[in-house]
Amino acid sequence: MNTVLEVENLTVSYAVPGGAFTAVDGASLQVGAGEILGLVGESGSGKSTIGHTVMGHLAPGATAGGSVRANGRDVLDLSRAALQDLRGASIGFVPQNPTTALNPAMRVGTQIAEVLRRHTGLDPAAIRARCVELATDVGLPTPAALLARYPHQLSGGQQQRIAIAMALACRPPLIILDEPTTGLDVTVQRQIVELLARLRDGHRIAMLYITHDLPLLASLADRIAVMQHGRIVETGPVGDIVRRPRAAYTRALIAAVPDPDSPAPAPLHESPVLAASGLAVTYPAGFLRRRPPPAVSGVDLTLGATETLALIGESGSGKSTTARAICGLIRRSAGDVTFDGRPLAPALGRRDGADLRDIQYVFQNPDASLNPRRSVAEILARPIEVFHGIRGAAARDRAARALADVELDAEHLGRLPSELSGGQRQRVAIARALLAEPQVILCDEVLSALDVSVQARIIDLFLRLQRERRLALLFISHDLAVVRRLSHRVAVMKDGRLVEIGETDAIFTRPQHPYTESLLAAINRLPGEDRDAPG
Amino acid sequence: MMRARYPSALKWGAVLLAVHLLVAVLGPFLAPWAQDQMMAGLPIQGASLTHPFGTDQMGRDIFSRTLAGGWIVITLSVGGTLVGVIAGAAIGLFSGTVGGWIDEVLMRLTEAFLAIPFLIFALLIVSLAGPGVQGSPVLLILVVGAGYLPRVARMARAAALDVVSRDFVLAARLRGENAWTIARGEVLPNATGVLLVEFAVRAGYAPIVIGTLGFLGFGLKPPTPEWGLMMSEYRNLLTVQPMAVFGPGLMLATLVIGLNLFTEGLSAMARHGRAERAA
Repeated sequence: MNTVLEVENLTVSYAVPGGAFTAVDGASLQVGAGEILGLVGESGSGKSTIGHTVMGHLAPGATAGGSVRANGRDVLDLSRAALQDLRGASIGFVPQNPTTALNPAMRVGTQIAEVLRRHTGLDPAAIRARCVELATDVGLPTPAALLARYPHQLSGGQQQRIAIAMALACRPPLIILDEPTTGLDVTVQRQIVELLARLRDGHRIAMLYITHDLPLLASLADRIAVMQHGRIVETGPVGDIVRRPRAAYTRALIAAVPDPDSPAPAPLHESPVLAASGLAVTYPAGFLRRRPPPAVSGVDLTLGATETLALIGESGSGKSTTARAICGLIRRSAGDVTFDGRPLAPALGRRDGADLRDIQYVFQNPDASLNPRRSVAEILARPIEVFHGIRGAAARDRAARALADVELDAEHLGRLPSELSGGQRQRVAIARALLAEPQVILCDEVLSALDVSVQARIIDLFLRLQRERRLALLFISHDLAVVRRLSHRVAVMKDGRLVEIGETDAIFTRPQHPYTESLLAAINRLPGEDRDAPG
Repeated sequence: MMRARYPSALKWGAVLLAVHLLVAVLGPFLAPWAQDQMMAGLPIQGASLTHPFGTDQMGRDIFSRTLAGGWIVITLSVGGTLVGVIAGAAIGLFSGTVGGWIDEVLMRLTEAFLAIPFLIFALLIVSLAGPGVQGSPVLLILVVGAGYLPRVARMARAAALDVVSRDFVLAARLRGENAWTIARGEVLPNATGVLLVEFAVRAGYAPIVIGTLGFLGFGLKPPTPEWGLMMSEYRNLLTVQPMAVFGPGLMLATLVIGLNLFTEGLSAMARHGRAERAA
């Protein structure tokens, strides 16, 4: 096998106040033609830095040592102009977020053609023909029509296919993919993964696939390199890495991945504490615009007093809208919501203190849900003051106890959110919800911004809190493995409607609706002796 | 490794401001004559060693009067800008946070005020205030503040709109907090940067407003040694001894230039800081 990319003893460090931060520390890896090397690690492990360095892109103030040979040329020695020739022509790059990578004011076909114009001597007719060929290659239906569209007229999956087509345009022998499917729906993710496997086999392209998603790599990559703190701790064929990991870190990483096939918590059969019936949300018609179809309609669900109900479905299916209509953040246009038998008003302003206290909401991203200018103590003081009327030293004691509840120290009270890690921030957000002493917590994708090992600890935290306090959780998630570990029942949403609701194990083993089946089919599983996946 | 990272505009602005502040504080003590002493020299004398800017119609030393004017102009400028920024920020942040028809009404009102040119607006207030309070420093501070209020309110509202859609504001709404509490507790701490720049920019133009009103006779009353008023009083002496007008004018000009250089340097530094954080 001929080696397309060879990274040897690569070190990348940044100048920071008072010294240097080493992002990549003596990393070595090879990728051969027709091979996908998965580079897996948690946030801050340096995996993206390797990807950018291979493209010849170093952040300002960064210095690189060692060697990066792509197609036989040392990237680190190349001039700016030579690098520009290299990028696109011999190394393709697929970014994480195609919405920001594509130019919103240019037709996508023109954007692909731009790459070809820059790097090849093709005439306009040949470029047009090649664009159509590329669009067909990446599996876009009706390529000619889609190429004439602007990025916002395409779905997320189609945008990512365009980004892949741009990377493929000049038939480069090597493509770097930086979290190319993060943020896409599972079924779309599955299609992109199948496309990449086809391109590898059909065009013998070498790929460096950077991700935090180990189960996804297990179904796609040929070999995996595991990164931690800037070092590659282990490299090997996929089967060896997931079945016989040698490094302790790899073992921990695998252990943290929830298993979508282990049985869910047994159903509880409690009387409901929260009930929604006929819930609907319709956004108002704009000026000269017709009333849009309802975002959510006819949703009936109940939540037992210590039950976890998972709400699953793809983006835009109305999961968050449902949760926000329940807590009053969005006004429902029809239907009833009752808590403990008493009706809840549609508008937030019409709910009393008890209504507000009993139902708490934890947001997806703690970076956005914690005020960056307030210390942890100030953030936690708000619910204590608003819901319990306690201030001063007594409030501080309560805040410290709440931090202990979410396994943080009282010393974190004085910190700003920016001085905490992502997992710690989400714990503070959970502590803020707990301080209201609620009976129901609505969790909106609370794990999706976190690394797997952190996710596993937060899941354990939720399980413990639910055991110790009587807590009902409405758990919105796109991660079905997490859903199976946590929830007693599952509700599946599609296009603003509830298509299926039932006990978790029943839904996972005997889905009734074809949409649920397609969601379940898209789950990536880790192969292993003790967890033999069907299929 | 320590690099010099202060923009030169900031440095020169700081130097000019420091000189002005020194003059404002020490000027009255360093002045060779008391600013209101009549017949400190013969009336209407040209520049000399004893009277660097000459003397006026009543024999007062113009140099001493110019030195004494510094703290008046600076106090009025800072006071007026403070009133405008605080009131404007309160209205703008509240308006942006509360949204809906209240926001609409408040913003249409600010637009109505913005449609009146600042100077005409100021003259209007002064003449409406009546002769009893005309010439009072408090009135002047309120005029500058009222003039700045709608301008600051719009900036503060824009800053608030940037913040109110973030999840921590939704979290506050879920606690049942009202718009005023949210504006103060959640939005204001995230808008302080904008408001500080706004304060600096507005303060940079306040001396011109005060000087202009003084020159037109709508500002402080004689015999206050306010620079605009002095330039107005002495414009008849321009041919005899130009320093009587140029002296106060130069002080006013350097103060405004210093303030503006300083502001420009500050915002350049803020931009640089943002770029650095983004990298």
